[in-house]
Amino acid sequence: MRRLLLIAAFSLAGGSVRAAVLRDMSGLVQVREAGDLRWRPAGKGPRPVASGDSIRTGFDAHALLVLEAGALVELSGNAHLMLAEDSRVGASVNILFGFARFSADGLRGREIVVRTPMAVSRARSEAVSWNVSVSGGGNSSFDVGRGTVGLEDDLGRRALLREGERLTADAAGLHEPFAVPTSAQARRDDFAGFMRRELSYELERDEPQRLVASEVRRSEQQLGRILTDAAGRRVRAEEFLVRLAPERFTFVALNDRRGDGMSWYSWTGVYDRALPRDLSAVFAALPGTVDAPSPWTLTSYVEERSDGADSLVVRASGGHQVDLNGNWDPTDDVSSLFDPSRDVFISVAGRPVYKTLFDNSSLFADGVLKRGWTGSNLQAQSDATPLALPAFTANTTFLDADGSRRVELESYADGTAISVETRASWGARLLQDAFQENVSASEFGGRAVQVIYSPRIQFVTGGLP
Amino acid sequence: MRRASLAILFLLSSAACRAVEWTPVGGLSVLGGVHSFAGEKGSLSGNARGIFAPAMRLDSRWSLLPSAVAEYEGTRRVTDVLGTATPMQERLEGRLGVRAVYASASSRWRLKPSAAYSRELLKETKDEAWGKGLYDQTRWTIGGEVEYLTVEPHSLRLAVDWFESVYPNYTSLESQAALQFQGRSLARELVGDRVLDRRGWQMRLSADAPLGARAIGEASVLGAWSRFPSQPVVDEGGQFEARERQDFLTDAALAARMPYDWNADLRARADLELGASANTSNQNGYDATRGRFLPGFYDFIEWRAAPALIVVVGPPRRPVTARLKAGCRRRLYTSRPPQNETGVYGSGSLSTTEWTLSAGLDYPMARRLSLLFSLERVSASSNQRFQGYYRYAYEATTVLAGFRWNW
Repeated sequence: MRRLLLIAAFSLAGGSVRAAVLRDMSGLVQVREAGDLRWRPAGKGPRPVASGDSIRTGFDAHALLVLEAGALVELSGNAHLMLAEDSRVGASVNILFGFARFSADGLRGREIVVRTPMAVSRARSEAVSWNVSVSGGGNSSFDVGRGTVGLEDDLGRRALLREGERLTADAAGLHEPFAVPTSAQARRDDFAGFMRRELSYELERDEPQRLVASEVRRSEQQLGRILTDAAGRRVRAEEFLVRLAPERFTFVALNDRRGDGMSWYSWTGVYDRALPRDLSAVFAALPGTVDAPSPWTLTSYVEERSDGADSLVVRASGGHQVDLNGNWDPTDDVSSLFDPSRDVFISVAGRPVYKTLFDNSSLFADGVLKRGWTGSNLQAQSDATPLALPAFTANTTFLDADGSRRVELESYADGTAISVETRASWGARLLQDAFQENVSASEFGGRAVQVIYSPRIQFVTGGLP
Repeated sequence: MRRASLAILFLLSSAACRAVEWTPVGGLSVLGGVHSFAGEKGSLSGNARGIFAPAMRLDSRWSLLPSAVAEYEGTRRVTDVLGTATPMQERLEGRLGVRAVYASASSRWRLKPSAAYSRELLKETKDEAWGKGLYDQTRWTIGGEVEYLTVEPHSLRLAVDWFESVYPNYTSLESQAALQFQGRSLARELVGDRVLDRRGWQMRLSADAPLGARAIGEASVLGAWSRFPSQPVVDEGGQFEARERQDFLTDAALAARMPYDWNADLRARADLELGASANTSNQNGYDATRGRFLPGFYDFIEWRAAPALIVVVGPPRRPVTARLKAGCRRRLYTSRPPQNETGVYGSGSLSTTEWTLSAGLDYPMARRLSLLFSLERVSASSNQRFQGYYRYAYEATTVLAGFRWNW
């Protein structure tokens, strides 16, 4: 309404107006007159502006330019324009940077031309209003609020922009026009944009927990607590030591398979004296020592494979260290010994090698004694006296060509049997892989104890050659 | 009387609903693809992600942003924990969150209290069923964020949250053994059951600002302090102490983004992202097959760098976007010695190096619909030679194609 009154007032004034007028200024507004090199404050206004004069506004400033041709130009902050020509028959304005709004009512053939670095726009209807925005590089945007505006780029391409349409122009020329959002739409779009930003911040909050969860899972895998068995099923595994008394420890390997429940391998050693807190030296001495006996003598041990229902147990007692290369029996001489510090067999031929011999040893399947020996201060294994039990024969069968699966079968004279099937990559890679055992016995009634554990413990305790 | 109360309540809530202005925000992406790990190709599968957030403007200052996120991942991404060596893995995640935003036009400060609940289901092997996965996780996060607008749209943000993370299907075998086989010496004293459950606090400070006239800088620092109430610390004898495990994970990231416009139809942005992470834990490791104590087993430091180039071609409202990103990540487990092929411990620190390359194309089909193509490749190496349980050296590739719909 105010704009209409202003236009009417200047139209009525007719010939008394000889130039455009700058008024309603706020903030920093400067004018550079034609031919002058200096910018000067526009003052409080109203102030006449002649053809060839330039106007610029500072941050958050505002100014209104009333053209003699009967149009209004509203300048926002940080804008720069030049009034190229203005008369009662038409006006031409160059927008060099920033945002300006043009409006006119009742042009009656007067021509209003607005130029930007990329395109030229012209009022094409009697009543018209359009926004012009020029950004970095001269890229321009035109929004038509009322009436029709014609556009032309430097390449000669033309477009007619109607009410509610927007078009952008850059070095490539004019682009396709599209609908300008209404104020309600713009408000909704602004809010949607704001909320999208908040949504991204909201989802960002999960990032620390994702990192922590990944690390937790990664560590569990690295510790070997999640394995896959030969059938491709998930097996959980935990290996740890239990210290219930200073002179003993138990190595425990626990397994759990979905649907099959828990199974375990355990090895409990009892020594003649208290063991150090750090057991690495005790482990190093377990396979045997060279040149001198170990400071700790393993007096008894219990080795068990079980799933709670069935079990295969070895019990030994009366342990004492014997120099096998120095005893009377040349058949038990040791030429190579497992070195746990390097995981290799070292040559010990001709040197004193101390290993633990047990006076008593028994194997039980579900509590039924299957085999064993007895003796007194044995100095060679061959001195041991087998227990009076049904005789047995032992056979080893390799099921795969690469030897990765083998079955050790003990057949007893009473018709019973014990079978231990192992799966691993035998030979050089054995120590690199988990070791899966499938233990069955006649006493188990067709069931089997399946257990996966690190094969290394068998090397150390002497379970494997 | 009850009917009258209900009617009044209905009228009040209707009036309140009319006063609230709401705008739905969200998106849906569906991608099909294949993941290959160390030459072993997984079967054709896909990923899908849907987000729905009915944003509500309550008045001129307060807004409310409830959100629901559902995600299915059937094709592993190269950013996953790949050393598990399972090319097939399925993950399902749901998240519900609510965030209130206080923003006054006359103030540069914004306050945002929020709460979120999420549930993640993971199937890593064929014998695992949905909801029975070992690493299924339930998470609560409650906290808030303060934002200070510097030069709009740039700001400085500080978020602090309390969290609790529960693994409902994970209890330690040792604690189960202690319960099932009493008196058989199969468990240590002080053994805990839900050893992965954790709770604690997390903090994130982030900022973005213009760097001169032609670049934008982003920086963030986050810290997550996690307590594991059921996980006692392992001592040098491999036994448990009365103390609980506590971890502190920190991450710092810097990014510079340099956009360049040739014209409205051809734009590009060059990015450079740099970051460092560190984890400090009071928990130790113990190798029971060797009787070897491994102090600081979980401690690590990580550096990463990732340059990227994004090219945008076409009209600004529907441009074609092409992305190319390379990355290098090096992690040093400061106190964990590397092992040889059989597991013998060496000297120094275990380190891993990861090189990644990803390329993507976003091709608009309609106003809110885009076709997506993505290729990801990772090559990892390490001085850890013992890989019986976890693969430290591998190559993996993920190829995905699909569409995204945003509204």
